[in-house]
Amino acid sequence: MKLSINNLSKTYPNGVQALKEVSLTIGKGMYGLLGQNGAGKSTLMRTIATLQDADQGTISFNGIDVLKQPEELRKVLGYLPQDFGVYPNVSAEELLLHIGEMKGITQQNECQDQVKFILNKVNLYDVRKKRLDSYSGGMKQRFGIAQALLGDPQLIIVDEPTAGLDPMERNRFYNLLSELGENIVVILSTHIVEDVSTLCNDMAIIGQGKVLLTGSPDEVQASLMGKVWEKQIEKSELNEHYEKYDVISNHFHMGKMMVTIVAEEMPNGAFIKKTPTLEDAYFNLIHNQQKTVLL
Amino acid sequence: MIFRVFRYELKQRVLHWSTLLFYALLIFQSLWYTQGFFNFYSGEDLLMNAPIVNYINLAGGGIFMIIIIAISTGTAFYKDIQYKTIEWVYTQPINEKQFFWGRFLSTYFYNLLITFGLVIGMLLVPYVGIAEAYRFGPAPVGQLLHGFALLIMPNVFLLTSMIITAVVFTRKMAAGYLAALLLLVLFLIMQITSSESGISLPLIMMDPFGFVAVEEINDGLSGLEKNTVYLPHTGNFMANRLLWLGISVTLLIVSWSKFSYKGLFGGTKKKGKSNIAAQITTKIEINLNAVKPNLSFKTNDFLKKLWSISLLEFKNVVRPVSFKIISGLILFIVVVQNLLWNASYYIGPTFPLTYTMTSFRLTFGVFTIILIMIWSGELFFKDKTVNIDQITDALPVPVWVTQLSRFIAMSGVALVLSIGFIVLGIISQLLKGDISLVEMDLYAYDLLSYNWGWLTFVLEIALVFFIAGVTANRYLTHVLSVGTLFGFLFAFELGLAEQLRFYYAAVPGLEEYSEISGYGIWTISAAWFFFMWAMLATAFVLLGIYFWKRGTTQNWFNKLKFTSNQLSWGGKVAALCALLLFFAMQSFVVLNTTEKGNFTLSTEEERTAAAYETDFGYLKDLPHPKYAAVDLTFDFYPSDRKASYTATIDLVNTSSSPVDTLYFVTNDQVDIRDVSVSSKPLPLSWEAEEHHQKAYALRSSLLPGDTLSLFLKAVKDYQGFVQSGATPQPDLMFNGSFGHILEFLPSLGYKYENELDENRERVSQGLPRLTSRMAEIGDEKALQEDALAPDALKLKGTITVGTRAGQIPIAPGKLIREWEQDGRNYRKYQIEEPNSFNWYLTSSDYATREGKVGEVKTSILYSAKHPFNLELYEEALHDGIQFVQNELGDYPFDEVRLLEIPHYQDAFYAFPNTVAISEKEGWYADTKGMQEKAYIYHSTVAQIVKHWVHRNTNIANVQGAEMLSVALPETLALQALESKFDREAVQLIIQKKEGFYAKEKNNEPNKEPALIYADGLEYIESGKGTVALYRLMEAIGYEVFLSSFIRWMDENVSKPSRFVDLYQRWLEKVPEIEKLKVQKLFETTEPLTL
Repeated sequence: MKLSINNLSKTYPNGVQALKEVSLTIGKGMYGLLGQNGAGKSTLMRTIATLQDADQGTISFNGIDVLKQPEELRKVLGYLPQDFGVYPNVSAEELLLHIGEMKGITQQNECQDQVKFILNKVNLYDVRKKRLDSYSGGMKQRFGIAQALLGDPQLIIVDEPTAGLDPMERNRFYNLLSELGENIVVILSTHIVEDVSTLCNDMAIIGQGKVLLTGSPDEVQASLMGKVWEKQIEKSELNEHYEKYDVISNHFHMGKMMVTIVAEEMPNGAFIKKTPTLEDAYFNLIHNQQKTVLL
Repeated sequence: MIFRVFRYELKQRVLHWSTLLFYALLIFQSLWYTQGFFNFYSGEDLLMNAPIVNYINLAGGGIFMIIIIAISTGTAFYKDIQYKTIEWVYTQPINEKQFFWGRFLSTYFYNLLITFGLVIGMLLVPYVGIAEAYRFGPAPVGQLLHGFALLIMPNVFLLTSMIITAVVFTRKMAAGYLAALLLLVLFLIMQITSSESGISLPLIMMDPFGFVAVEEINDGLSGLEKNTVYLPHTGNFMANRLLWLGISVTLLIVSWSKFSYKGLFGGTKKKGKSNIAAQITTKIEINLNAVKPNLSFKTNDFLKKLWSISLLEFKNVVRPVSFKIISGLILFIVVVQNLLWNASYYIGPTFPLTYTMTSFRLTFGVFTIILIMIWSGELFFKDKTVNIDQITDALPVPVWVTQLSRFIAMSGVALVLSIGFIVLGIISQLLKGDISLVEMDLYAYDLLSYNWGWLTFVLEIALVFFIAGVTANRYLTHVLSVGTLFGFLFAFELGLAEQLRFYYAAVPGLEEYSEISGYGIWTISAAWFFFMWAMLATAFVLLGIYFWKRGTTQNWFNKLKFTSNQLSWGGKVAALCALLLFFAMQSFVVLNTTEKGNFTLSTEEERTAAAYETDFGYLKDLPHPKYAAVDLTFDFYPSDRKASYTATIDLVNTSSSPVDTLYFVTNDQVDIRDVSVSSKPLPLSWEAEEHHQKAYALRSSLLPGDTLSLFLKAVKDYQGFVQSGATPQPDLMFNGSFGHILEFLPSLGYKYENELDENRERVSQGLPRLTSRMAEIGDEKALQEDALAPDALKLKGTITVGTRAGQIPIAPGKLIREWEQDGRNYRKYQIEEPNSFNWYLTSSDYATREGKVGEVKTSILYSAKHPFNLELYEEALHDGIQFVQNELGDYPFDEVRLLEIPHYQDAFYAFPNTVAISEKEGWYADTKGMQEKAYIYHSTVAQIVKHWVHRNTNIANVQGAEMLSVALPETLALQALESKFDREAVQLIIQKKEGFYAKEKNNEPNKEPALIYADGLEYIESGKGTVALYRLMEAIGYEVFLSSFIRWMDENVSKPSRFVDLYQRWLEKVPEIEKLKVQKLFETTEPLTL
């Protein structure tokens, strides 16, 4: 079970090149796709989900040429888009039964059983008869997750799935995805680094339409081992630090400004060594890419 | 603050590219409508840029203007919701009421700015080459600005207020469009109803745009006034303007008071919502393996799904409260229309016949179709609208299943509405007390088929389906769908297009239903047209699937890739076949309509008529013989719309020169098979096929005073079918055939009826203007002609007429024999005394009621469906005969028939032994009221009086002829009416005629003549003429009026009778004090209100 993306490129009519020769190989399990807003994640997701054409390149999944046989991929696809709505006048159960039928479940009782099961999994069972326009944002997001799981998907694509979920529901969703990811391909597109580090055994970072890095989160983190340094500074010192060091990020901790830099050796005694995180690796990549652009 | 919001909004809009587009559209609309309105109003002196044309144009609103205002206004108030800017815009420190005024004023001002494009368009009219220079006068700038102020400014204000109110109250853009649509439909209903049934105060007041009020003013204007008028600030027009201005202000105040940021943001959340999360407590455990479903993607499964998904989509449409409210409203309006406002187009209220229950669709159907189009568009884009398309587009269901299910669902919704209309019609008939009048087959044909019923709706849904696929844009789909519908509607309504084969989904004959003849030949036309549109609709549906793009469409041209797998190869081939069949059907329609002589474009008709006059005008000066006796054997074949006949005709040369050639002019479709004299065929000298003119050389000249016995054999056979603009060919119908004798036999010499008689057309064809449509009173040749039949002397004759079983053949004369032979019915009639040759032949399925008054046998032949007013008709018939015998002299016939005939031709006919009255002139009128009762009585008596007048006078074929043949009998019948009822009954008829005259005089295509020069238009003789003679009769007294007439007749027994001479006789009796008044009435064109 493998999803292969080769040299995929896409340029919008307004000239924005959303994907630049993207190549990825994604196997069974959870795969994280990390990138900034506008990096091209959603374009890539929509293209894999058969909703958008590419200018060049190929996508194949288990022998299906996705761009040429989109209808075949749809038979094994579960897709949760980043932003979606629902029919206002129908209940969750009714719409899921409808979607189940569209996904090819021909036996009504099977469809009903699966809908019940999934509704329970996403904790919407008790409100399954309520009209969808009475759902809160989090409940709608869970409904979206439920529809993606319907049928027997072999490839699940979830685009920013935890947006709007409270911590409890987010955990529940993580567990569900992990359970599913044991047997199928799950692509999780997000800009929340923690989601990827928590769930994914493989990942890619995308920036400005290009694949910047691929590997497991551990490998990505390990690539900076011994090179990440942290220092507490005054806010007024920030610009000076940016000029002197490779600052990859800054943030506040207990009301104090902290800067994180990358350097082969400790710059001076004020810095302390930091165990690199996936977030540091991600920021470093973005930082390097911005430097390249400026140069 | 108001000014700052106003300035910002206006700047944003004016500088947008759409402003230019809107301007261009409105200028185009202006040019388009100006030409249409000009063509619609026929006055010969009317300038194309006459102020009245511009006023009417401005009042007409127009589809582009309404759509543009709907878009412009709705967007102004909806954009913050649409683009979700509401959350930050409305948190700014701006007073919300001031914000409202700023937005309103900028929107209104912007709307006025772009609608000024209409004025610009009207000013450009003379320079775009749509007509010759002489059709234009000086630019009426003052009137245009006046019209802009009186019509456009308040109408735009109304539209703006209405749309704003709808958006503010519902927070939905669609509600804004619906509000604009409601106004448009209200306007259309008022406009169409007023044109059909006459202008009345309720119609004027309920018309939101003031169009009907402007029409009322137009009706009262002379030709000169139309070219110079400023609309008066008085009367019904101003009442209308003030009423709708008041409504606009009220709406604006209501929306202003309702407008608040919180309100637009969505207000309070629905009850119960907050409790939903708390309800999530139950846990059920299901084994994951047990719920692994079996998936199947076979075509059979998709077909099964098609049904279930269609059902779900159907529920999605009908479930929302808004659907229930709107459809409930439609059904309510239909009931109200059926019960209260029903088909009183002719003489007043009618019995609840089924056709009156289905006729609402002719005006209201447009509204229904628009709603169905909008619902369809909404359904097709439902997924995109609620933003679930990214989920549903990624599902493994082919587009044809999802989209077709929506097409089926919408067709189902339309079916439910149509069935609702039928049920309500039947209920209305029940409530009106006559369930026996229910005709289910007519309900089915009108409301379920393609006759502007359910199948029409399905065709329109297919159009929306196609547009949705091509545009992939919800709003554009709405605009193009509704715009296409209105484009067709206006183009045909205004006469800019004539051939119905270019009007998608339309079938011919919608308004041609006759209670006697049904839809006749139109049923065949309509079936073929529907088949043609069904092919196009099939292609639309398939192409709609082909073009419909899943996911994000980036490149429109990608849709055109033939290799796209959106539609299977089978589907592509089917689409191609459907398109080919559609084009083949277009050719088939042309073959059966144009090629077979059933349809001619009006421009071609004009050209042909002008050519006839130019090429054959010389025949006017040649001597021609006249019919002197006719022995006719005539066979109707109604099922084939065919008649075959032979005639032995005596032709007499009444001229002073010998005749050596017979010139025949036949009607279309007549095929003369044999013309013989003494059993020897006459040689055909020449034939002009286009004009159906033939010349036969006589073997020996027919000398002055000599008579020739001619044998003629011919067939009239209608082939093919008709389309819009053509008559239903009423002389040969499946049932209810009724045709003049010269529809079958040839006219002799030159046929004046073939000439153009409207001066505007004549001038455009390079012909001289007519000063009169009839020969002048001193025209020696015309004085010798019988006005009722210029081709003949008064003559005797026998007519043997046969028809198929089930129908009765009827001809003029006394019935002397009837028999059946070979399954056909035959009758023989004899005209025993010389009578005018204004014969008519009839074949129809009739019920009969026999009677007798004195020595005169009477019979009424009527449709068995209409037994309602037989006693009244019989009473009028008998009273009429007695009135003639008492007041005038012997009634000329010892038997008389009263026929109910289809409504396709004139309303009344009086010819030997027969009176024929159109079905719509009272046969199914509800005669509880005096007006309807008086109308039936008066019109019937008038026909009987005509019998006497026609028989006892030699009405010369010159100006004023119909004052004698029509107005005089109608005036005398008023006396009978007064004797029967009272003076009030007479006044009701007089008022009706005054109204008719006032309305029609301004549609006079040439110049209205004075009554003594009346030249044969109904509004002159039957309208003004009857009223004037009645006033004259009042001035000199009935006895003097009658005795003067009879004495004058006695003195002119064998001379040609001219109205002007009789008038002079009466004028002598008028008291001096009244004389000037009477002279003005008869000798000038002063209006009746003298």
